[in-house]
This record gives sequence, C-alpha cells and structure tokens, in this order.
Amino acid sequence: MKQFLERVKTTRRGFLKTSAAMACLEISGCSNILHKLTDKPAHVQDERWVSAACWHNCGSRCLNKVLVADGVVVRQKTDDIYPDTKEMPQIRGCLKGRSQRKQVFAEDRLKYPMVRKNWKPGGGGDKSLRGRDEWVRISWDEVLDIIASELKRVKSKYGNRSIMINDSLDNEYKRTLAAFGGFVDVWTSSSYGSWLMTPTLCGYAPVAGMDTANDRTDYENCDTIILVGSNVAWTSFGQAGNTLMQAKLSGTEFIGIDPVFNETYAMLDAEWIPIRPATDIAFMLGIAHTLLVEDDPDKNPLIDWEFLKKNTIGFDAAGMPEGTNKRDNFRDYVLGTYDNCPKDAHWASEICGAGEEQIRKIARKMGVKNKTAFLMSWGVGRNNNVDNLPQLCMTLGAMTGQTGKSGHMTGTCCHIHAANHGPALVKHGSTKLAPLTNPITDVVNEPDHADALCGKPFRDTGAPMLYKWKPCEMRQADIRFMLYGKRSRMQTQLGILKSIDVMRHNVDCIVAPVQFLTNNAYYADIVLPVTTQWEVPGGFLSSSRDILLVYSKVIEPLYEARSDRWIAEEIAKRLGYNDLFPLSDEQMFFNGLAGSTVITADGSGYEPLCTITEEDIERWGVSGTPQKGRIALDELIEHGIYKVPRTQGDPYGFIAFEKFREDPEKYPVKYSESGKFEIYCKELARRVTLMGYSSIEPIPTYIPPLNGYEHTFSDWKNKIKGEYPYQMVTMHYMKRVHSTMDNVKQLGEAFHNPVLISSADAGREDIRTGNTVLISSSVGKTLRTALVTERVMPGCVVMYHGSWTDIDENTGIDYGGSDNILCPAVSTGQGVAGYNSNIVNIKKFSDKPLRPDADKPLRLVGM
Amino acid sequence: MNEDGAVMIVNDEIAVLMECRAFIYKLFQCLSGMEPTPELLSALRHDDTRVALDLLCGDRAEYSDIYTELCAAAETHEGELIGEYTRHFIGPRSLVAPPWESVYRSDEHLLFDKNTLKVREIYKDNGYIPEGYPSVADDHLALELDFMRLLAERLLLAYEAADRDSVYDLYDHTVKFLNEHLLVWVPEYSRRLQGHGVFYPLAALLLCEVLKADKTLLELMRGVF
Repeated sequence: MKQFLERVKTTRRGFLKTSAAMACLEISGCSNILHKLTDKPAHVQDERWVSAACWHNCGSRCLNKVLVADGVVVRQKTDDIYPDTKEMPQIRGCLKGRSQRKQVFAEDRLKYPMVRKNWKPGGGGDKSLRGRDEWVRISWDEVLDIIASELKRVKSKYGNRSIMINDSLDNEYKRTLAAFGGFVDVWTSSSYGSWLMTPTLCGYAPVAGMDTANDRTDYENCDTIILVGSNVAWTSFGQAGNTLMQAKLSGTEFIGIDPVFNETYAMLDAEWIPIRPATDIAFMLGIAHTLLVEDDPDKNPLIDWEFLKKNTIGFDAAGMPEGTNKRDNFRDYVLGTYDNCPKDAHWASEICGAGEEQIRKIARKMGVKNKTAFLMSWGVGRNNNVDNLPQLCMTLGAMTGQTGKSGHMTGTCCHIHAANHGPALVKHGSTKLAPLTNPITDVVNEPDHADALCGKPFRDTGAPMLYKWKPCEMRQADIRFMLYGKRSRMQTQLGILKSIDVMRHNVDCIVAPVQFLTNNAYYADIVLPVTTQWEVPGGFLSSSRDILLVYSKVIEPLYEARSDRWIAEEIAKRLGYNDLFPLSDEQMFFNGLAGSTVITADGSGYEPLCTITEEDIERWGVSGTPQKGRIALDELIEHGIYKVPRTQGDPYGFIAFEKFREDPEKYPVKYSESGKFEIYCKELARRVTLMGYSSIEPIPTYIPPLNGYEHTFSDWKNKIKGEYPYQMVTMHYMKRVHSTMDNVKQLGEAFHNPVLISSADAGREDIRTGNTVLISSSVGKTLRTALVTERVMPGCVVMYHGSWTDIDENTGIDYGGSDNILCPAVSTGQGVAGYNSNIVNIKKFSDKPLRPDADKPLRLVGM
Repeated sequence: MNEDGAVMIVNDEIAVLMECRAFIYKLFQCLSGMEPTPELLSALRHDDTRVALDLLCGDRAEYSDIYTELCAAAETHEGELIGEYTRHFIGPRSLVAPPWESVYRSDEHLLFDKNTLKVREIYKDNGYIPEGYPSVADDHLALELDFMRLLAERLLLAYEAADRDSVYDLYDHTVKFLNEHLLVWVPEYSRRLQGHGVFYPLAALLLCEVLKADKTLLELMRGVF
C-alpha cells in the first residue's frame, strides 16, 4: 500500500471531480450503462416453460419447449406432453430444433440498423465496395427515413418497376410496396423443381405433389416401399422416419434408388440401387418398357389395364384424345414403335447406371398383384429437363395400379408430406388481414434475377407457384431499389458469384432485413435487425396433417431488433400509408386461434378447435367472440401442440385417388382438363414450351438434362470424359435447414460438412479421406475436406446444400463449401432451377484437411 | 481488514485512489460502450487521466508505454476510430472478440445464458439494472465496467462518510466482481483483439493493466480500512 500512498502524496483530493477530463466523460453521455433498479424496475417472472417456435423451412416442424428465467432461456426440451405411442408419436425435435437457443442468442445476431459506409442516397455511391465496405450504425428513425426517401426517389424518377423484392411468397414489405404502387416480384421453382407445375396440369396433384400418396397409417400395409431420392431421416426428421420404421417392423421391404446410400436407407436396411443424378426418367421408362414386354394378363399380370383405360388418357393409341396424332402415345414411345428406340432396360441402364436386371426387378415389384409404394422426393424434380417426371411417376402408378388403394401408392415422399398425405385434420385460422394485390405484374424467375438486375431482358411467365402462369413475355426493368428478405436467396439459389458481381455494379439501394449477415445482407447497403419468431407474440406452424403447433413469445426483442411487420409498417407510414396494418400482432394471432378448426369425431367436417371465454378475450386485449371448442385456449397455448387422436382404422385415413379409381366420371381429378390422369397432357407441353426455356412433349420422354451425365463426356460415343467429369448431387444436410443455422458452431462440430466421393473415383484422383479438395465447375470453385465412401455411386460427388460462402476475394475460391457457387444460373422447361443436375471436377488441393467450419470465426471476411 | 470496531479514519491518499478508480472505470466504460467522440478522446488524453493511471498502475511496468501508444493512436487514427469501434462492438460482421462475458464463460459462446443471469442478479442485489434491460445482455464489458464505476463511487462516498459497514460491504462486492468476473474473461478478450486494429487492442491491453493494478490495490486496501 505504501507505494500507492507515496504516489498520491502530491495529488489533492477531489482533483478529478473538477477535471476537464471528467467533464469530457460526462458530456460524452454513454447510454450503455446501469440504472438504479428503483428507476427501472425489472419484471421478473418465475421460471416457466414456453412453447417456442422452430420456424425454419425443414420438412418436419416439431415441438420445442424452452425454460425461461427472467427473459433468458436456460434449457430446452421437446414433446413430453403425452406418452409416445405408435399411433400418436411424440413430435420430438432434432438437433437443429434443440439448438434453436444457440441461434436466437448467437453472438453474431444482427443487433442494430446499419448502413454501408460508402453507400450514398441518390445513386448508391461506390457499389463495387458491396461486401467489402465498412458499416456505420444508424438509428431506426434515420434508416427508415432513408429507405422511404429512396423509395420515393426511385418511384418518381423510374417508376414502380424499378423496385424489386426477392423473398418469400408473402411478406409484410410486399404489402407496403403494393400499396405504394407495386414492385417487381421474384418467383422460383425452389424445392419443388418440376413438382411445381407438372402435377397441377396432368391431373396428379396441387403444387408439390401433395395428396398423391396415403395417410401415415397405411404404410405398413405395403409389402414393398421403393424410395427414390428420398432421405426423410434427415429432411423430414421425426414422424416420417417413424412411420417408415413402423412399416419396416411390420415386415415391409425397402428399396432405395439414389446416387447415394443415404441415412434413411441405412435406417430401413433398404436395398440400394445406385442411379446417376437426373436420370430417373430413363430409369422409369425402363420400368415402363419392362412392364409392357413382360405383362401377360393371364400368366404374369403386371399392368392394371382397367385403370389405364378408365382413368387415363394418352397411354396408347386407343386412349389418345381427339384431335391428336395417335402415334404420339406413350406406349409406342416406350416401345420405340416409331423412333426405333425401345426404352428398354438396356437403353435405360446405359444412361442411368442401374443394372438392367435391377430395372426389371423394380418393374416386377411394382406389378399389379403386389402391394407396393413408389415414392419420390422433390429432389429428383430439381433437375433440368425433367418436367415430365411427376407425370411419369403418375403414369407408372396408373400402369401398375399402385394407386387409389390401401397399401398401394405412387407419389411424393418429402417435406411435411413425407409418409403422410391427406388434407390437414387440424388447421389454424386466418389472421383476417385483408390481402393487398401488387399492381405491378412483372415476375422474375429467380435464376434470371441477376440478369434482370443489370437491365437484361428476363422471361416474365407469371408466378406458376401461385397458379398464375402466362406465356413468356420478354421484359426489361431498370431495378434501382432491391429488398432481400430473410430467405437468404443469394445463398440458396443458383449462381452466387454471378449475383455478387451483378450487385457490385447495379441497383442504387439494396436493403436486407435479416437476423444474421447472410449473403443477401453481406452484399447489401442497408441491413435491418429483424426479430426471430421467439420475439413475436405468437403464431402457428403446420406440419404433419394431424398436428398443429402453436408457439408463443419467449423473450423481448433483442437489442434493436424489430419485427418485419413493424419495419414494413414504419416504412409505410413514411410513404403516407398510415392504416396499412390495421390489426395488432396479438389480434392477428388471436384471430388465427379463434379460426382454428379440427376434424369432427366422425370425420365428416370441421369444428372449432379452441374454447374461448370472455375472460380470455379481455385478458388478451383483443376483440372477439366467445366460442366452444375442443381445447381451452390457455391449454393449447401451454401445450404448444394439438394432436388429433389417431387409431388404426379411424375415420381420418386417406387413400389418394380412391374415389377417382372407383368412378372417374363421378369423381374426376381436379388438376387436369379432362378430369383424368393425362399421360398425354397437351396443356403441360403447351405451357412449358410457351415459357420459353425449352420445349417438352405431351407424354413423358427422356430429354438429356442440361449439365447431366451425357455432358460429363467430351465424346459420348466413345465414352471419353470431359473437363467436368463428375455429376454433383446437393443433399439437404442435418447440420442446417437450407442455409439457416449454418452459423451454429455446435452443429458444425457434430456435422463436418465434407464432400463425398466414391472410393473408385477417389482412387483414380489420388484423394483420401481428410484431404482438402477443390471442386470446380464452369462458374465457380469451392473447397471441402474429402470423405471417401462406398455410399456414393462412382461418377458422382455429393455436396451438402446451404453452406455459407467464404470467398477469397483474391482467388475467387470459396472456402465455405457452398453448393450454389458451382451451379450456373440457368433454367429449363417450367423455369426449373436444376440443383441436382450439374457437372464438376474434383481435384486434390492439399494433403491436409481444410480448417473445420466450426473452428472458423463467424463471418469475418473483410476485416 | 480491520474489524476491531474502531472508528474508521479517513485517509486523504486512499480517498484520492478511490476517486481515481471510479474515474478510470468510467473512462473504460465509455471507451467500450460508445463510439469514440472528440470529448471521449480528449478525456483519454487529458493530463489528469495520466495522473490517475499513474497513481493506480505505477507499479506495473508496461502500462505507461501502452497508454502513450494508445493516446498516439487516438490522435493519429482519429478518423478511423468510429469504424474500428463499429467492427469491434457493433457488427454487422461477427466480432473478433465479442465484448460479453458469457461468450468466454461457456463452450456455447452465446449471449443471454446462465452467466448473464448471474451477472444480472449481482446488479440487482446492488440495486442496478441495465438501461436496455431486458433487450441487452447484462454482461457486456461496458456494463460490467459501469458496475465497477458505481461501486467505486459508492465506496468513495462511504469511505468519506466513514460508513464502515457500507465500506466493508462495497469492498467485498467490488473484489468479488473483479475477481470472479472481469479478471476471468477480459484477458482472453484482450488476447483475441490483438492484431485487429490500431486502437481497441491497446485499450484492451491497458484495461487488463488497470484491472490487475486494481486487484493489487484492493488487496492492499484490505489492511488499511
């Protein structure tokens, strides 16, 4: 102490009180301080479990519960409300859902509105600095004023067609800008690929192929389940896998047709038939041919001739519709009657790589006498030039009669319809917020959006996703203002490098309301912190048809995060629209609850789900009417889930096309002009062809995919490989949901995100597990650590979808393992983005593994 | 500590040291809690600040050079400091050294975890709550330093008033918080900052010096109350 006291000797007491230094600190007025508790009381609640949203676009959606202590989430758990039974399984979360806390409270959450330092209103300043610039914190008031002023400027100078929104189908910003006179919208074939439009025209199904297969109680009635490109164990985690496992336990045989022996096939001990990416149509035509040549109605019945005759058109010459050339029928195409090319197992095998006998075996398994399910994921539709694939799937179902009966099905198996089809048995009500229509009709297909941004002509074909199709009209727009939402399209869509390049030369103002610095935000001018679904009053998540998830607010918005609705409303006010959002968030949530319905006990209709009392309405501070329902409002909120009680043989089962099979005249299918399965679908061919990307036939035919197997050869005839000798598959990964949660380190520690290569190819390329490899395509290069495996078909490499880019600006090499760096921004047919039809090369980059993603600092590039 | 029940004798030198502690914590609270303003930088460079630092850190070999370098950086790079502050404390890119204790206290590297609650409880026990509660994490560096500043100011007042019970109480809280919180994570925070900028890595180094000097001072004070 002495030395301290010695030094003080010459210093007078209180010298700092009057010092200018202290005065300067006082003037600085830092607000990052503590207050007296008496001035700002804390509202502490006891620890409580809250039903918390797991809101991402995965194929499941499960029950997430969090233990909240004074606004901090200290634990998570999942469905433990009712016992786990075969008929009513618990809806348990996966490792992503259980890591939700790590996303919401991540250190890299965007906390404040920020503007790029060298961005300038009125033109954008130096656009080349996007993604490289410094950022400046700005207040909400300032940033909202800037956004409104930019919108007014570009509207008055260039018109509403200079404004573009690239985000989900419906968001709050679209409402604001629709009121403002409209905006250019963006659509995408997205996850669906050709399952987007084809089923809706050939008589098969609504968008996405929903309701093409049976309810989950029926899978164990199948003798054989054939899965094509389906990995529900990862992509529809939980109930779907459980349903298939129950079938397995009851004796169902499983076969997986896929370039990869995936986790689902492993779980189900499925026989694996390796097949090259994007060649499913050839494989299926080989099945059709086998059926035709081996069928003998008496001795070896394989084909359901009665169904074909009664329920389809275009299968054979006799079934061709009026006014068409009879020779254009499907049967003669398959047999090669007129083109001298039988689409037999030999022909198919050369293209798809599956053995001839394997193709024939599948055909026999599907024969009319067997109880078989043939189920495809959307992934096989996410290929170029496979527009007829859903139609061919339907055709095989029709040929073999594996449709319309218990234990028989031919359809889709993915997302929330994985191993569970049929109308929802419980559903939430509407918010009752009246929709606003966008007065501007331009809609850009996502792969064309980079071209549109730099003023090049784009195909305007309407929005097929919303059943709003129109013939292609080439349009041009001078986009000056762009709003990217939370969907991180610049990461999850094709041609990332092209998008970055375009953004560095075009558009005056790019705004990104986001939670994290996704690519859309990384290259934007203005970033706005948006709340997660844990920070809003509540909402619904639809999943399996027999459950409804209801989530509640967990915490107050973190830092300066605001909801999309609040931001959109504030922008609207600054544009002169004060009443655009007349209902409070609480009222909209309440309306959804009050309007929720559940199937009646006898399955004949729907009745209100919630009992709501006067006290509830008063406590919520909303307007509404008391009602009687199945479950008290508070109980539903507390449980966070409603499950329709299910038993085997209950009246809620669903057999796809059951009535249509019985009487197609009385119960025609909704989605075709004829009311029948259109194996010859003129309207499909017409519409696809009129979209201007490429043309197709009215019947399912094999069109070599753009960037498909054939393109891996420089000389197809002599089988000499070309510059990009491998086909690339992009699988959804258990680490993340598309690109969401890729920044959660713990998930990265569990899932290392390698590139998968077959041992045969690895041997040839001198690649070993643990080597760093460079995967390159005509448009990009990325690095990954190799995992050599027998689980991948030779000739293919597997990249996991959604990894965030980490681009070295000097070399252009992506260190993040981003799949879409490698995919060119091209479309075919109905505007399909071909995520699984791409060709690449793979070469050893280093003997050492790449620095693991989990060990890398979060988005630091450019520091 | 003297617990013989005798009346506390107020020593001018100790009061000056207490005053310096409160001032220096306030200075670092501002440095880590707000964009650098000309006023803040002039407070940093003020002669009285050097005096206060000398009084607290005089026994430590490196503090003086670090402080001199920090002041020089503040002058030479004044125009860059807001940008550097933004990169280190605001975002939107991930922060090389996130200024929250929770990030360093568990393998989860999150904000708003059990550690945050512990810090909040300590604040509450002492009658404080963050200005931004509950939207900001309580264990931000600036808030923890503000807590130290508040305790230091109260310790000085109690000491000047010869309020022995309060002095003991505040002293205990101060030592505990310094040892169990700031000194646990700020050295690692500082280590992570090094090499990333011209000003804040130095500020973090100087803060480490201050925290260590304060620990020594507090230990020595134990014998003179």
